[in-house]
Amino acid sequence: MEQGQKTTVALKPGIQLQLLRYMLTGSSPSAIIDAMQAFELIPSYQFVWEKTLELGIRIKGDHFSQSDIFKRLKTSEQYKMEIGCAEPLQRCEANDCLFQNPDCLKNKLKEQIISLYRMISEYLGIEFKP
Amino acid sequence: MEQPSPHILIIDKSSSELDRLQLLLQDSNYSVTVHGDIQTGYKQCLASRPDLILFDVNLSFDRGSLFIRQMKKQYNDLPVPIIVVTQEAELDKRISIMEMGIDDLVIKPYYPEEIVARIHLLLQESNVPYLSSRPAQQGFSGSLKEMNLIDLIQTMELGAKSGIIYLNRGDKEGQVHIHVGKIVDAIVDDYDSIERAFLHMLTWIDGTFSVVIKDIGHDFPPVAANTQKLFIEGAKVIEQWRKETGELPALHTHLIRVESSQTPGIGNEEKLMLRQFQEPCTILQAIDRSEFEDFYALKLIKYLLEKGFLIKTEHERRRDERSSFSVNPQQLRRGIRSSKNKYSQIFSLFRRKRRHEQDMSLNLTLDENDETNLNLKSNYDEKTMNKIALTKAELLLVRQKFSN
Amino acid sequence: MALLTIQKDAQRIGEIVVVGPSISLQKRLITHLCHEVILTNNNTVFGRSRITHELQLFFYGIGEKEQYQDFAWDIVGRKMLGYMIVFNWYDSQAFQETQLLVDQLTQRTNAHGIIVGDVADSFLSIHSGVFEHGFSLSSKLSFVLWNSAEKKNAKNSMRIMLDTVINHFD
Repeated sequence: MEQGQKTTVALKPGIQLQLLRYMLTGSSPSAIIDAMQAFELIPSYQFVWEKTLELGIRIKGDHFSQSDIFKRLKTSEQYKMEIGCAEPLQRCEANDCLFQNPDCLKNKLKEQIISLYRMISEYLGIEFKP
Repeated sequence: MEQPSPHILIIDKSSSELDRLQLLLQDSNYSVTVHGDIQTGYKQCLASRPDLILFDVNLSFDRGSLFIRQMKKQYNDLPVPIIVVTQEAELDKRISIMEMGIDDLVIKPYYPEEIVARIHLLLQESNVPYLSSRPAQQGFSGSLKEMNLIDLIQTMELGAKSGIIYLNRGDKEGQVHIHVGKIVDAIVDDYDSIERAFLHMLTWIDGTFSVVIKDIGHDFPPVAANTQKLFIEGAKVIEQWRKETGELPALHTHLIRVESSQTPGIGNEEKLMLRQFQEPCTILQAIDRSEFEDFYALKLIKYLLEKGFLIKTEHERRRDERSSFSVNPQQLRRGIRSSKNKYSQIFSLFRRKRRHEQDMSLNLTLDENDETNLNLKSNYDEKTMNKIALTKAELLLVRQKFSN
Repeated sequence: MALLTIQKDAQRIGEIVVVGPSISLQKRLITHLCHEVILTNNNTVFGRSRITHELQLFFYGIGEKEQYQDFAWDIVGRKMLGYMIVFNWYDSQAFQETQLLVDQLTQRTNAHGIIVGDVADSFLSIHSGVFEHGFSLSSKLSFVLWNSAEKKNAKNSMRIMLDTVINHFD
């Protein structure tokens, strides 16, 4: 998924560490996500996405394929249909709604992040605690 | 049969925002009770169950968290949604507030309309009837430390957005109006030109912002100066501001003037500035309240601090002792010289090594009474420059050693 | 007076500062990485590792919260090879303290660092794929899990930190 380039916000390493801790212990990151604003969630999603890839490659080796992750994530098109959004698809894909509808963007990214966390728990063979 | 109005309990100090919020809620057919402290709010909750609680956690963080726990316990069967408002800009703190188990968190300054929308939403989720609906205000807010004015404008420019950027620093508020990504107006204090008002607001690094996306009309001509030129000039101002403030304690530090009947050797302008500090006052407040231009005010304060006419308040000094990442060189030297100091041994290792860098024979002493002058630079805010003493080849040797 | 003497030919020194909420964990990590631990008490640990006749690494464990907050980062940060932040991965309080420390340190110094989470308490429950490479948090900061019951594993954290230093070397 292409990330919006509208923000210069960088995640503090302490927050990255917390995201990582939840990830490796199979805990849900909901509390931390809820405390974030939409523009902070964009780099968080990016971070979680990268770590999912890293772990997938490390643990599954040759059996890993990026498309395995995509298959499990809701596409922007599906998400738009679910919430009945009439905006052009490209805007959703580019996280353009950061300004018009930050709550919607936040919901979308939260769902994606939690799906990624579930996948990581599966890779690690641990139970995901929602 | 007519349904009773949902009851909203607000615990917060009175403010214009709160007054407006109360009015909006009443307009939306809510019954609202406001309490200025947690104690009375808690008593009210015990007397009758509200449908939603909104409170400012900054009234008292510890009691606030206790209050939330009590409410969760009290209404275990049918939880009361809780919205917390806070001025806390730090994400970590916000997370710890969220972890108290609340339903929503709103950062101050807030838009009352936004709170009303959130209340609607939460009550809807908890199946409490509400009687009117208002769309949420579109926009976002945050700390200027994370996104400064230039970042905000560039963001608006990139998306060709229209709206108003509200900035707050201390007691001051400023506005920048944007039409289709271009600055059309900047309002702060009594600055007469848009450029000057804009450049002044660029120095607001410590405040907060809120962006409201809306059509602001087409009547304004774009700002006279080229935006890019303004940015370049703005970047210079920010750089200069950072440099000047970097030589001072943090701008929210409370200072007070040293009591003395005599103030020899200082001019009238310094005396005028000293008057700002009759009572404890932050550097930022003094700058904002003084009649001088910001940079000049900063210079005056710096001079008064250097000459010892201004000192940190007792409270600030105690805080420094507790959190020493902002230690000043004097404290550091004191720490090093103290023969009882726990770290003197480690420090003496460093001192000796530096001094004898070229020596063929290197004796490390742990003599606690050793007093060595250290050439410390006052360097509060700048990151320490890291220059590794080893060559790349040596690093590779070390790497190899740890590979086995 | 002189408690220790470094041999004549030991002229090249790389310094590594070890911090974290627990001095005993700092000591354990330094012990795993050094040939000798020269000085140790309740507040400080000092160890060294000889790489060649001319080259040594010094490890400074600088104690718990009060101590590392008072540490002269301005002085040491200029030349240090890097820093290691070590903490018990399963201790929530230690984790919170570490988070704060990480944020403060990254603001305070430009040096390379590694965060080392000790999982000795529940080592077997961790997937082996997590141990080997660590995770990068930024170009200068990484995170790795460490089983303090196993010496080999500590070297891994050093290796990961050194890789980031070497990759950045001009």
